[in-house]
Amino acid sequence: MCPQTITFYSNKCSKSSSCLDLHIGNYRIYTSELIRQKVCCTFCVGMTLLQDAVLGQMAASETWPDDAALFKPDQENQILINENAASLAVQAFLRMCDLNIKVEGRSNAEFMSPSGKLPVLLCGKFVISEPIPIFQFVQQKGITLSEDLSENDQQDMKAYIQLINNTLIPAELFIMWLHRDTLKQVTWKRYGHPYPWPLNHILCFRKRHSTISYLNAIGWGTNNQSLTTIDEEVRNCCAALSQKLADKKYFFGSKPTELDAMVYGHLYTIITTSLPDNRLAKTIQQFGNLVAFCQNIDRDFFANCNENSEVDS
Amino acid sequence: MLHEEDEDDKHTSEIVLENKAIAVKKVHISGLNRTKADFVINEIKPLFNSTTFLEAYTKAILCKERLLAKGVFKQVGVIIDTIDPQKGDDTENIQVVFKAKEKNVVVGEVKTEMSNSEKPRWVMRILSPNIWGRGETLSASVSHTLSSHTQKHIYEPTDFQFALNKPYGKGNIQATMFKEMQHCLWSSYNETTRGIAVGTTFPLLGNNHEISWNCNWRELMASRSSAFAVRQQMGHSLKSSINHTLVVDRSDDYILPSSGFYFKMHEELAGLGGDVRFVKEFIECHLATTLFKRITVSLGINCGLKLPLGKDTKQHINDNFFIGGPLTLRGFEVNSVGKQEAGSYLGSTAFWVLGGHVYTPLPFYWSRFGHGSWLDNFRIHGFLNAGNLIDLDVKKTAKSNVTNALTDIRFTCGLGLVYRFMRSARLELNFCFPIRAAKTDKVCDGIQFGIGVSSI
Repeated sequence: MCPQTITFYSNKCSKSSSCLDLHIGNYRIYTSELIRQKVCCTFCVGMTLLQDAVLGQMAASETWPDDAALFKPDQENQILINENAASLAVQAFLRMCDLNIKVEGRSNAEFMSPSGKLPVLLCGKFVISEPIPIFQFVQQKGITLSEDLSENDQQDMKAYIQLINNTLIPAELFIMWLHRDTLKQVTWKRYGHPYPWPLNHILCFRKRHSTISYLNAIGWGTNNQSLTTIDEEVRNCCAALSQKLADKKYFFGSKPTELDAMVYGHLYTIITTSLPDNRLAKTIQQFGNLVAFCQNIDRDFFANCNENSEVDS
Repeated sequence: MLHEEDEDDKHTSEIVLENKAIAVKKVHISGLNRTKADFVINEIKPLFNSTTFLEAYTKAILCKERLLAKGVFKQVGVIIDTIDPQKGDDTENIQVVFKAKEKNVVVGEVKTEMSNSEKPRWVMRILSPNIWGRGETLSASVSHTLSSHTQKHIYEPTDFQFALNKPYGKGNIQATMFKEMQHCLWSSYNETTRGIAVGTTFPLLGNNHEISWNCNWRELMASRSSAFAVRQQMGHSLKSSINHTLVVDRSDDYILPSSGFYFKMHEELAGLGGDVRFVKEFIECHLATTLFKRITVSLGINCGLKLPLGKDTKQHINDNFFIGGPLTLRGFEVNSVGKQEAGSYLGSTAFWVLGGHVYTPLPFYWSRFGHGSWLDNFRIHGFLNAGNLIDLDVKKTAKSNVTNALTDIRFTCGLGLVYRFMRSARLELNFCFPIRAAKTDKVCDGIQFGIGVSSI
């Protein structure tokens, strides 16, 4: 396990993740290689160490504002699996922290994001995107779910979150952008939905191109993977999660953590989304305790607000 | 040419050429290799109506100018010669020969010019001036706008343009395809526009009209410092619009007129396809008059208005109007007037700017002014600018909108030096005293330097 002080520097122009540099002391390693080796570590894309420090100082001084808002693509017509998973994970996390948030669907949410990824959190003057930076940002305000955990458990949690990032996210991207039927019937229509012809096709094409180069860089391209092998990867990931969860309510006992939010976001989205090929959902449904876990969190944190979140989007 | 004729005549006897009756029997253009004859034939037809030698001579010079204006010839020479008269014909028969030299098939140029954002840029252009023999121009150019905020090196082009231009009658048809990047520092976002445009320019009743259809794919990208109000407008949009421009130009110069007036109005109707819907009107008007042959007084107004079409249509920051800058509302930073959030200016849906100037020649140069020296391009000017940005509200009464337009008016006055550069750009060095400004405005108190084409 790597120490916590590792930070990724993202190049703004980078299309593929091979441009991301990892700095550990004086060493510099390319991420794509790193991810291929499945080294687990925390990271935060789009934020440098210095910014992190400044942000931390400033963020800590302010309390959680009432008008904090979370932006994601339009739920009805636009949002894709991976985007919905990330948004749901953040929503679950904020609810676990008991923080008020207004969820808004914006067709241009992706472009509002400083890192180009979703969801986007507006909190006072700060705009933060992606789950892990948002978790860290909230932590800097002194609100955290994982402070009671032992050092070991915290490292474990980070490793499992990384497992999700390295398995479930590429799997979702693969099925959305590389599986022919899903691409044709779902992704192309939904991603291009807010735009007029011919922009919808141009933007889909561009997004597909950049996603493919990302997947190729991390070794999940069509050369190495097919839906069958992806399914296998997801099964392994779920097996690991299922084993860790066992028959507990949450992954680390009775209180939810960031990992619970992440797992819920991804698994719940995959299970509840019907795609031309539902193989992934079926695989996950084989793990009874994970499905029960998702239903649990849905009931505990979303039961009374489900209507709200639907109306918001 | 005329001299040759003179010398020929000297041998025989003194003949007054001016009023000599002649008939133009033959007009010949040599050197047409790629150019089609029908493209130039209309330009030389008036010659045949000449009855005197002087008339033929002036018409020949005029025809030469018109041929050069076609843009396909490098140079044109004129030879007027006699031909043997036919029997029973008293008048002198002459023939006119135009020796034309066509431009090269491919012409290349590298130059610096002013970009739309009032920043200089370098342009590298390759063009074929006469591609199918009737003056069709095909050009391809790459350019880079010089600004400190590009990530690209100065030698890397950021923009490109392909253009095809075909003249017809007195008008022109153009089709262009382009990509352009703009760094809007005042609003802290970057814009990349890719588009196609098809249009025509033509004169009508002495005024120039331009009608075009533009289809632009605009990509707005936030920068690190973007305020949320700007950030939430980022993303892609497609604007398909019909544009009309009318230019009534009765002034003697666009950059530094000494008399006359100039009027330009531009209408844009966006919403034929695409997801951007609005009507936009922009008017630019200048008036100038010279007193005592030295002192020029000029008055100008710019105003514009944008109305959204349809309910709840998304409006974008890059379609808004901005005022302020060293050549418009002087004494304010470029486009940094009005509503802002965290240093990002948001623009507005309507504006007006007034400018009054008094120009005088350089001191100690009054007596020599107007004799064509390069120092004639310098002027001292005193100016007064006023302007305002208005958020137009159609639901309110016209009166409340007018009151709105007249509250919080910005005023500046100042003194400065103006230089007209090559009749194509204007350089100003001014000392500005902003008289009235709002708290949100970025005021430039003191020396301000500006370079650009249009001004008020």
